[in-house]
Amino acid sequence: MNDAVASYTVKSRPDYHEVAPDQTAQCHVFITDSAGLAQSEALCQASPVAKKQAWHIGDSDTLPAGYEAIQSGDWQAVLGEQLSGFGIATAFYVSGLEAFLWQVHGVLTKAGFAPSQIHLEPPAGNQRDVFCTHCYHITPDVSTTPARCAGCGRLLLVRDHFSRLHCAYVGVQINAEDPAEVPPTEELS
Amino acid sequence: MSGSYIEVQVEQCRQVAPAIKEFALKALDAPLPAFSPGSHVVVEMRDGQKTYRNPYSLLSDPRDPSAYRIAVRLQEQSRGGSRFMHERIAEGSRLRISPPANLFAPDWRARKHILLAGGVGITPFMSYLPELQRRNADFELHHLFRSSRTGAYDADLRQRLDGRYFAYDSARDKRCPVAELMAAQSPGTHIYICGPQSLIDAVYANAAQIGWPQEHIHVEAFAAPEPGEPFEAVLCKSGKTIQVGAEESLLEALEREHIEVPNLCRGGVCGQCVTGVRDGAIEHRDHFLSEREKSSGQCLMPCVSRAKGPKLELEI
Ligand code: FES
Repeated sequence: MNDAVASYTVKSRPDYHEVAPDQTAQCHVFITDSAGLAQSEALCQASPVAKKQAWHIGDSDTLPAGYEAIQSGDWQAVLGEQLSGFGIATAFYVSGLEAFLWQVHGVLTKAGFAPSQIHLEPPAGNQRDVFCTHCYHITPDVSTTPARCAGCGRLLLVRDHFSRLHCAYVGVQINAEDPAEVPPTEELS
Repeated sequence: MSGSYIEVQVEQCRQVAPAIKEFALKALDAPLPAFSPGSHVVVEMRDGQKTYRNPYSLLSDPRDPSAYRIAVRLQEQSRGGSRFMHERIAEGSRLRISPPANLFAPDWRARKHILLAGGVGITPFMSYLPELQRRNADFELHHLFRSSRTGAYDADLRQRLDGRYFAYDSARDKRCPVAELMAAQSPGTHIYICGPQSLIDAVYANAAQIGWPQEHIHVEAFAAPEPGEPFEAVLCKSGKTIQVGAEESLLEALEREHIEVPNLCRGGVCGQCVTGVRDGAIEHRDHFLSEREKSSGQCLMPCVSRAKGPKLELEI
């Protein structure tokens, strides 16, 4: 009983720290979405001139020098295929919105890379993907709480509980007792 | 050793390398418990007034519980345990062992397993092999030894594993190119080491140098406790004072006085035996406590660590 209460109130938000280039890695790979591009570029320039590779994921026609594009369509599969060319001693730097960071993290660990090789920069915005615990739909780019679920239309309280499996925050209906009641909206941090 | 003991009898004993003897152990009453690859048992040896308890890896196929096999290297600096096994234990001898425990299990998420064995460090891998083969896992076994002393199962492994087996006999000047071996691996490879500290250090140093992921390195680190200066242990709760000899560990001294302390590895890695310290300088020799815990001076691992001065006051 105590455990259940404790886990309900626990806040699980990943901790992010400023990322510095890993001086020992044999190869450096930068992966970013549009929101993280400036961060990624700065880090890329600061990192040692070992073997480097940089990808921008998303649809953009102007990219900084050195960045290759991967279209947003089936990007996780495309990225996964590209990774087969990299050795075990590779460092990855991921920039962008939080959900994107963890999606890339998932692709990298699936390819066999270890968490210590994957450096996630602090999220490039406050937008969250929200996983609805009622209909399991994931609503992207939510920046307020409560927020409307794009799947079932319920008004969701966006909790500080991040699910690495879904790369999303958990949302639970805020007005289950009386759906007519609409609490004030707050900006997420 | 914590928990229940198992009474066993030595069914067979044979020399498998100049300094290594293998023992097959059969249970006397109940069947032996099943175990997982990488498991060890603590063997209790009674030598008159003295009792030795040493951990040994199980060599048998984990799916075959009919007998346990262990291999013991005669340590030149033996504190008694390995010499006792070599000289006093023969077919028909009885021993007590702990149930198997595992502190060195394979990580089944690995895409490839590199097993690095130094000398008698081949033992935990003997229980990995049948399971790796059953699972069709990708693996390589690199066996470093000196054929004048160690090198157990070399011929047998060569035959069984074919291209997956690599032998380096230092008596023939063959060295394992650890750095090249590590650099050549692809992502998802895990490396397992059981061998001397110098081998472990070489792998870690190399990993740090080239950015090889540390969480993909697994070490079977338990080593017999090293001797040290004798000291006095004051047990604050029971008011007892016991003398710890130069050749015995604090844990062994406590057990001699029938004071039970939970333990599993007896080599400073599992964390089971952690004991509070009220006063006295500590010489930490374990791989379990963090640097911060060590410098706090409030606890120690009695299976390997000792007093730095003449006296330690313990919270037991
Ligand atoms: S018994 Fe494992 S650390 Fe002491």
